[in-house]
Amino acid sequence: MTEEIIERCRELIEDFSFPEVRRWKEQHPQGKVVGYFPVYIPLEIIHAAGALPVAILGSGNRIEVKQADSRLPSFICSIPRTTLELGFRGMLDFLDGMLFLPICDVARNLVQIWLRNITQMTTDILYLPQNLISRGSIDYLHSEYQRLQSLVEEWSGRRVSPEALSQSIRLFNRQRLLIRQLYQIRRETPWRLSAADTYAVLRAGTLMPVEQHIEILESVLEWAQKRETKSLDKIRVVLEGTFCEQPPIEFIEGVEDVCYIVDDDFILALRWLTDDVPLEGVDPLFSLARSYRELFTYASIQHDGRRPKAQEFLKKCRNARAEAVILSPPKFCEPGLDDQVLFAQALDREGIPYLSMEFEEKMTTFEQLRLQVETFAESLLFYA
Amino acid sequence: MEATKTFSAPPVAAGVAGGSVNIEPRYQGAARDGQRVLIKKWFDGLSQSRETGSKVAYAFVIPSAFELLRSFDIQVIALPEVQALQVAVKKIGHEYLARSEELGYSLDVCGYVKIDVGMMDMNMQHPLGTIPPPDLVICPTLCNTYIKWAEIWKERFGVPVMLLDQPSRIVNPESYWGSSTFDADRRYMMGQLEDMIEVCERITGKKFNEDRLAEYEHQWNLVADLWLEIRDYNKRIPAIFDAFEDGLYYMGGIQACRGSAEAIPFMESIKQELQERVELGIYPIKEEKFRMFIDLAPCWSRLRSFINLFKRWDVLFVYGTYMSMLVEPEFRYDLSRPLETLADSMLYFSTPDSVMNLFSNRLGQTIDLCREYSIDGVVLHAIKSCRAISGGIVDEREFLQRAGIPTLFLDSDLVDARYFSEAQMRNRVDAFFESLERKKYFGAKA
Repeated sequence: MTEEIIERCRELIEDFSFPEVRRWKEQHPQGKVVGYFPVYIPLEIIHAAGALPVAILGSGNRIEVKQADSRLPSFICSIPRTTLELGFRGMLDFLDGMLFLPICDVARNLVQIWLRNITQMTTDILYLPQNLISRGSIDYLHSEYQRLQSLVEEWSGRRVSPEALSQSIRLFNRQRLLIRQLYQIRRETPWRLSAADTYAVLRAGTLMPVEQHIEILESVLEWAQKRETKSLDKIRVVLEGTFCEQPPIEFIEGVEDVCYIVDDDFILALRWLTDDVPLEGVDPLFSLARSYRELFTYASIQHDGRRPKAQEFLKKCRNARAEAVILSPPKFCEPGLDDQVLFAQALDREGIPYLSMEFEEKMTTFEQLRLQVETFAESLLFYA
Repeated sequence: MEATKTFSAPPVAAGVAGGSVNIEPRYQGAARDGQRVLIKKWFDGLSQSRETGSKVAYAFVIPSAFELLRSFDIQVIALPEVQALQVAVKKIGHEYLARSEELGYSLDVCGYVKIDVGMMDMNMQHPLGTIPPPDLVICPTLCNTYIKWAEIWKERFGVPVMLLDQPSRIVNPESYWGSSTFDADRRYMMGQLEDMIEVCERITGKKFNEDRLAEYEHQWNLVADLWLEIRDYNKRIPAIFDAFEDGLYYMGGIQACRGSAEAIPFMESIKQELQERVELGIYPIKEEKFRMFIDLAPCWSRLRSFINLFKRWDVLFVYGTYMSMLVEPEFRYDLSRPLETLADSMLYFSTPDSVMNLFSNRLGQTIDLCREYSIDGVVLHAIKSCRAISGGIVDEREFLQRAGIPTLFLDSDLVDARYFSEAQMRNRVDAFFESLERKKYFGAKA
């Protein structure tokens, strides 16, 4: 039963007709669908307005890029290309609104290209603060969330009350808790739940209502906890670099053939906040804004003046008892490629071995990848 | 069709039209000499900062609250983008790039960042002097790579990094100014400037002086006025200066003294030089065959080759976005509220009206400028390692062409000569100008 659910999630994330979204729309003819580009947006606000948030994360290696290539230079990463292709082909026409986040220089240009070319939906930008430590950062973000709330209210035609927002936050707190529990299984008994399955379940969660996703997570969690599988002689690795452009599932499986991926940076939209958003005695919108900073650890696309991100990254590796790390930024990704060096230097200092290996969402051959990871793992298993 | 002629004379004082001028030019070469003096002074300040005990700030070419820094008497300001391009112009960029690649930086990382990283690993040795470590870093966020760069400095130097985060407001920009969103952004920016003031006070031991800030802002307003007058010289036909080559001198000089009073006499000397050209009929090129607009920077490592691609066709660049993005033509500081107006300027830069805006939302500006400057076409130079400037450039070309503006698309890099394929570029340039020549001079519909 749960295997079927996971299989269904795997199908869903590769089906760019967005079947669950269309089903929701049939059930809610007046309901609005709001797309968002990586990495993080406060989904609660959209949910509280009765709209459905849907992550638009490119189309990987499933849709051939034709029109978008004629609008983008060769030296940029793949996700804007495959996202734009979906737009050009009219495959996102079900969206009522689309939100972009200026997480990098390419994403900033993508918004403008989108505004010029994909005009059948309303497009806007959510500007999350890069400066988290300034005296006005949280007030600024609170205002930005208020702006988003007004925008979504306008799109959906429904006012967001503090009660409705609190209720939404409770639901998403539940979703985040279940995801944390899944990752606990991955860290403690990785043979019970593969990274590829986790990825599929998480990503599918960005394509359906949170209520439905919570049921899936509960089912997968219960199944994984009871699962009787044997531990294999594989090295424990952290996979880092998939925070924006999505890795092909075959890429994750290729790594998993020889390693246990005990932690990663998949689907940060659902994992940015690492604990419950507090609701006691505080305005829920303000609490959501404050949590963006207080419950966040690190990401390549977010500056954090409080601490170096390599330190937080190392903490994650230690918590996961990783024996090694696979640093895998997407090709042409400036934030990922810059951080790769800082992370590698930190790993060198710590004496943790790592393999640097770029990926591209539209890659279709994985033999070389398997060979690289295998050689790396063997060198650790037999010669370290 | 062959290129009409090869023209290899220096860019200034190239030709005297009319043939009956008896007056000796007095001001020609002023911009070139002025920028040389200013750059030397700038580098002397950097190299001698340890001996002079001067505080050093690292900042970026996108305005980094220079006036505020100078109001604290922080006069030694390193600009690592400019320093990187200087390394490339000196044709030693590859040594620095190779060093940073050895440290793990990918081929696809910004070339400026890599030259700087290479330099940090080579004891901060720059061909024009030694770059001192910073006491603080000012980081505007109009380019996200700045943030990554600042993180590298933070890791290396452990000094305060003052982010001046500029929310991106390109959707419905016409209703932004004065809106509640603008008010919230201004409070955010004011907070960041106040943070910066606190750190500057701590580092320098001096109190913030609003009048001094206003003084520096006043000077910059004068620079902006002068700049507009200079820019407008090229609305004439034939144009008075080469926005690409002369523009490099103008820009080099201004960069070396950003936010300081020295920019004013420098600007005045440029104006004097240009006015003399008008009076004596001195033009940067004998025959202005094509009036072009160039967006944005060349490949600095192959600067001469890049320029010569166009010389063959008697092309004059009458407007360049690179040269123009330093001074905001439409924005002036309001001296009655010095700090707030500085905050406003930082917010203005991230709107589509600003010439500082790196992204492809400059399209509207480009189309307007083509009209104002009687432009025959636009050269778009896509820069591999700068995705801020070039990420939207292909789509931009599509829309320029739809607007009826002939567009030449070239791609290489800012500093990495490995991406500069001269033969391929020459083919494109020749094919484009052949076609443009037919269109302009023979009425073909090419």
